[in-house]
Amino acid sequence: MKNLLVASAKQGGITLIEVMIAIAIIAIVAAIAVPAYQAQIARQNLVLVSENIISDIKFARSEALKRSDEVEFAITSGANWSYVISDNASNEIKSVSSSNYSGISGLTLTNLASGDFSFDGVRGLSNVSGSATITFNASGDSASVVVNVVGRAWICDLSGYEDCP
Amino acid sequence: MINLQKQDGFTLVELLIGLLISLLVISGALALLLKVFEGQKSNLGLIRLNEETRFLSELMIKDIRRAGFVSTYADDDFDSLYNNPFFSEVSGSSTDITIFDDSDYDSAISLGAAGECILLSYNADNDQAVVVDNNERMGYRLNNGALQIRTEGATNESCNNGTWYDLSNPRVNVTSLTFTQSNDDFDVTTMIDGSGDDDSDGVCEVGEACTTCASGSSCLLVRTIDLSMTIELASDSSLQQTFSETVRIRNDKFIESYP
Repeated sequence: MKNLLVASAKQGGITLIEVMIAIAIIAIVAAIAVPAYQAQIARQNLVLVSENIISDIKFARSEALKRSDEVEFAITSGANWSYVISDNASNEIKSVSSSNYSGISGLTLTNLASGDFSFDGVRGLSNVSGSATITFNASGDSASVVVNVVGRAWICDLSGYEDCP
Repeated sequence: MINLQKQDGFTLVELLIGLLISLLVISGALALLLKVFEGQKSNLGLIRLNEETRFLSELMIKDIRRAGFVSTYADDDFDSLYNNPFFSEVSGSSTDITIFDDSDYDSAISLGAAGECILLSYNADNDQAVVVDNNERMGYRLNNGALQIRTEGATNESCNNGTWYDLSNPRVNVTSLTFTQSNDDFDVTTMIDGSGDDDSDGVCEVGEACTTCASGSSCLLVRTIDLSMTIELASDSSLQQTFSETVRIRNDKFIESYP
């Protein structure tokens, strides 16, 4: 009886090789998952900054209509990008810059050479000729925001969204 | 001692029956979930359509309502009120508001007929020696499933003139857009001298002579535009919405000598 108990208590552990194999499998899975996860984070950053600039464009338009006066939306492109909403007397209403966001490496403009557009105070019409495109870059990915002549804006050229016109 | 309990598991038939039942339950739940997703998707589409319809119609309605506006300086700018340049008429098209024929967008359509292009203008900058500026020549039209807006033009005699931009979101198709103008005429001359007031009660009523402008009389035109628009989702044409509204133009048109 005593002998039997001792024999049954003999523990069978995991061998070193087994542990190594498990670690290797974890490493392989992680190697696949991490880049995908990082891409997902970059995409989320892009969506966030795009949604925010869209709501700021809407805000600028509603400000113009509220004040019955012109409101300007000036964008500075590049790595240290920024945009400023200001009234007709150049008083700043709102300003946002790249330091407010992490993970956005740059901003480029298409069909908006001057970098700024304005909304008139009667109809809320912008002086964008047709449509302008604001593109944000993040590590390996980019998202664009199209602004049309009435300041309607939407995200495009990002996975899950429509293509830009 | 060791083989005290004989174990007996499921038979194959039992297992198959269990599998079948669980399959039925799971497929039912899945179908329900799919229906929920489908409903959500069409709800989202409807919200998008609603937003688009409201935005577009509001912009057009407000602009149409302003047509012919000339001055806020009613006391010291009598001249521009009296000789409103937005009321000038060239080959059937009134500068302040005209609806055009669908076939070529070049000729004004007759009253009561529906057209898919409208041109309008008003004194947007409220200047006092009133000038019809090019950026005050606005318009809306349907072009290839998109609602377009005119931001400037040289003339209000053709819907092909000027700079037009897409207004509607490419995610929706505007399948139909119609404007119809109807006028109520009031002969001011016969209203004042009383000859047009058939029952002499001092009120100009339907059917009386004063509701038809005689040639040479001063005439007041009360104008309304019926607007109707149908838009659908580009990704799902089964989701569509029609919007209709009657807009009365606030600035009634006064013609000193009716032709």
